[in-house]
Amino acid sequence: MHSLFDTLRCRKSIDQQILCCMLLMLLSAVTPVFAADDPYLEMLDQEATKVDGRSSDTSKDGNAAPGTGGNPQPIALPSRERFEELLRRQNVGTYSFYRKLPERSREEIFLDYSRGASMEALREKIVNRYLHP
Amino acid sequence: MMYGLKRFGWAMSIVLALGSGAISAEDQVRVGETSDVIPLVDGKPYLHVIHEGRSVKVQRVQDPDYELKGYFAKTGRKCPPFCIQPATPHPSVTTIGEVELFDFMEGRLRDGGGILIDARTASWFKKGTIPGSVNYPFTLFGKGKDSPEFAELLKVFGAKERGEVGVVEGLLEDWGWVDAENKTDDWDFTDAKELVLWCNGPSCGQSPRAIRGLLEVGYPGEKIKYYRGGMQMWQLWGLTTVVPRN
Repeated sequence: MHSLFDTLRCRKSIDQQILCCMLLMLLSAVTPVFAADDPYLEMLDQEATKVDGRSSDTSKDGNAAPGTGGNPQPIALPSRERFEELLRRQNVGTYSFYRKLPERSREEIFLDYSRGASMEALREKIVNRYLHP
Repeated sequence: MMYGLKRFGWAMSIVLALGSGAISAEDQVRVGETSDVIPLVDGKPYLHVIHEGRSVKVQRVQDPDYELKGYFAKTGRKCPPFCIQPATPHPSVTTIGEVELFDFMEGRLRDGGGILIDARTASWFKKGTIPGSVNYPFTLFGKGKDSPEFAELLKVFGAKERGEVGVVEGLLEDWGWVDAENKTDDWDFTDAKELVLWCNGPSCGQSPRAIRGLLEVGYPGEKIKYYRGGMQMWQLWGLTTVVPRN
């Protein structure tokens, strides 16, 4: 506020100072949301400095391991049944195509899913595989 | 008479013992089945989500002795502003937990129909985020409907600017003859994406503010989900976090 007072060159005469005060009061009345948010944002930034930022995604190849305690143990593969259930629930039509695909294609699609392929991409692949075997 | 009561007592004891034996045997079997892995949920050891263009595996810490340490293990913060938040920021918005968030990650987020929003300021986001999240700080959402930044954001979320609505069209909408659901004078939210917003946890007001900003411009509450647990609960469960590259 002090610098704004300077910027507006409000120190020349009493009249100008009164005018500037009124202008500043008007400005502060027009922008109550931002004025009220400033201390909150400052506190947020202060609080953020207390966080010890670190990733628990320890892998570089997409195989993340969570947490900071202990060594991650080998874990089971994601369930293909769950994927098929998800597909059946969300896209019945695509699922009917998927069921008719040879085992090798179904396995490939499941692997794509495990690696994080989007459902849209998977659906496209399933339809393509079905129409162009 | 006494003998009869005693016999009844013995019989009841045997029945109770058999009953409790059956339950604990079942529990033992279930515990034994999953003892080698701490899954996300029963039958789902982990999931994959795309974060900054690469696949990240979301799983839990596999150490049964793991304890949360650091900032998110704290139980108290200065209130205000870090006060415990209500279960939901608005009655039209659904609050979700971790299991629903996993489903969202594998469903809407995967197929492009949803966005996972870390609504915290950049200083928090840089310290680590939930995989699959994009950072849209809550401050962007409070700028009102005339803000060009907010307008751009709404377009990213799938909303369409309506431009000039004709008098006839406006009247038909007002009278209910034309479907005006999910439409305001300025925006059409019919194809808007499902949003899941989160921040630091139950005592964080950043995502509730963002949600209120969205509701103010007419974003349908049914398309907004609030993950109240936020980073605190995510870390409490020992779930994967990532630090953004930039």
